Amino acid sequence: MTPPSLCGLRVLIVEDNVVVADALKFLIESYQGSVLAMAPSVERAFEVLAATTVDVAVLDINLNGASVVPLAEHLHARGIHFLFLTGYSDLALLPAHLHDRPRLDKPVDAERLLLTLRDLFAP
Amino acid sequence: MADEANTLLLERIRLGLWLVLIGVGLVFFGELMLNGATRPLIGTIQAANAVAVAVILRLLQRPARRTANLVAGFLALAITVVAAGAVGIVARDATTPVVLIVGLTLATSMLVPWTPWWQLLNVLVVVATAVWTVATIVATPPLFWLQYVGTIMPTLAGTVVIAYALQRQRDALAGAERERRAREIGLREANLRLETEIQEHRRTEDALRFAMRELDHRVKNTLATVQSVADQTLRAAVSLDEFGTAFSGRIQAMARIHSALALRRWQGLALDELIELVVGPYRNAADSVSVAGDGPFLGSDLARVLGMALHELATNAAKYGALSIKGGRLDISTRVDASSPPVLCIHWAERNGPLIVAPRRRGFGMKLIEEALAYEIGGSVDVRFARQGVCSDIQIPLPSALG
Repeated sequence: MTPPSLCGLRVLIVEDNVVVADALKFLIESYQGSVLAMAPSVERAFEVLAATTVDVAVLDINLNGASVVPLAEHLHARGIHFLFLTGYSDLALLPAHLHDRPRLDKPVDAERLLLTLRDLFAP
Repeated sequence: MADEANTLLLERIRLGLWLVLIGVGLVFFGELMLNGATRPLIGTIQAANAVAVAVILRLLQRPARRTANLVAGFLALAITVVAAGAVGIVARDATTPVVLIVGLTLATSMLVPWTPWWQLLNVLVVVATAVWTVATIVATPPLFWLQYVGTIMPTLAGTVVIAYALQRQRDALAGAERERRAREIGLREANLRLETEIQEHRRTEDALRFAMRELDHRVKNTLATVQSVADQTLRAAVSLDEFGTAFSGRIQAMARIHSALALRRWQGLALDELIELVVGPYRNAADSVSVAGDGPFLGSDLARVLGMALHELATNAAKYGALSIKGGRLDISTRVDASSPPVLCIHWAERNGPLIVAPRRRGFGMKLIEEALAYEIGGSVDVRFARQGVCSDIQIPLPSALG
């Protein structure tokens, strides 16, 4: 099976832990994705979104105790794809209408992340 | 309590009725002796009265039927009152009904609350009747002496005794009611305490469930961090040996910081404690590391990130810098600038070490220091690879409350 290519996909990473964010960036870039920015907080992510256009966002659900849900709602309203990354095993932190969004458990499996990203844009 | 009061009442009634029976019997025989042939009606009434009271007294021997006994006792009294009244009317004695009224007044005054006006009325009635009665007695034939001494007085006395007993019983009942109410209040309070306890348990349970989820979250985040550290250490390493040392050192530092924070229930850590925790293990002589300055308390996130940065500086010093040879010195000075927000400045200065050659490429360690401080806590770091020794300045904005 050939690994999927992300071919220039513009990605925003929202993750409070720099080591995890860096690893995600490396992973995405090694498959030809383009990481436009990494944001440690919802506020930082909104600033990035105001300045640039992204194709997809990877969202950690809990950012130093703050919820990523407001950002997810914003992306949902603007029709921007996103997927959740979480250390929680249940869905309690997400409102019901976001339960069907793709969700990856931490620690992230590279193959699954890339497949999920590609599936978001599958016809 | 109520049972005892009932038994007491019954005894009093029995005593009262005995008095009445003796009186009635006395009058019956006196009447027969004096004028049995001329006034048969009075004799018959009194005989019937005596028999009725005696029968009822016999019935009262069965204490199990309390309510029935009470009713029977009052019935006996009523029969005697009516009989005395009838005898008084037949004998054309005007005082008999009056005396009975006094008796009933006394009895009711025992049954209703003793208000001052009611007492005054009683006294007036009793005094007036007493005067009237004495006057009549003085002017009457022997039969009426018999009538008074034999029937009416014992009837009155019985009435008073019974009424007194009734009041005692009423008091006892009121006492029992008070006690019951106190018990009820006690029960209600106990209930309330129990409910509060249950709520507390429920809160504890919720907190536990929350803690379990947070633990789950933290473990997965830690695993994610370990995976990322492993990936990136591996990428930066030139040999498996180097990877092993660097990776194990980083995991050890993470674990030490984690333990220290867990010990303090994730409240945070003082800066000097944190420095000792991550730099201490690389000290190669007692005086090779000196720490001076402010030691502000750091929140757990801040402590974690700053701790990892200091760990990278310390491993670098132990590998290539002042802590790699004997006699090398590391001076760490700290200061909190009272700006808004307050800024923590840490100056890291190595000296007396080997000559330093600036690395050709920035390794993961240096990248970790710079990025983690800037990305996660909005701080900055400047690392200078001077020939005499590595110098570093770290600046971190502190939450205002800690400044």
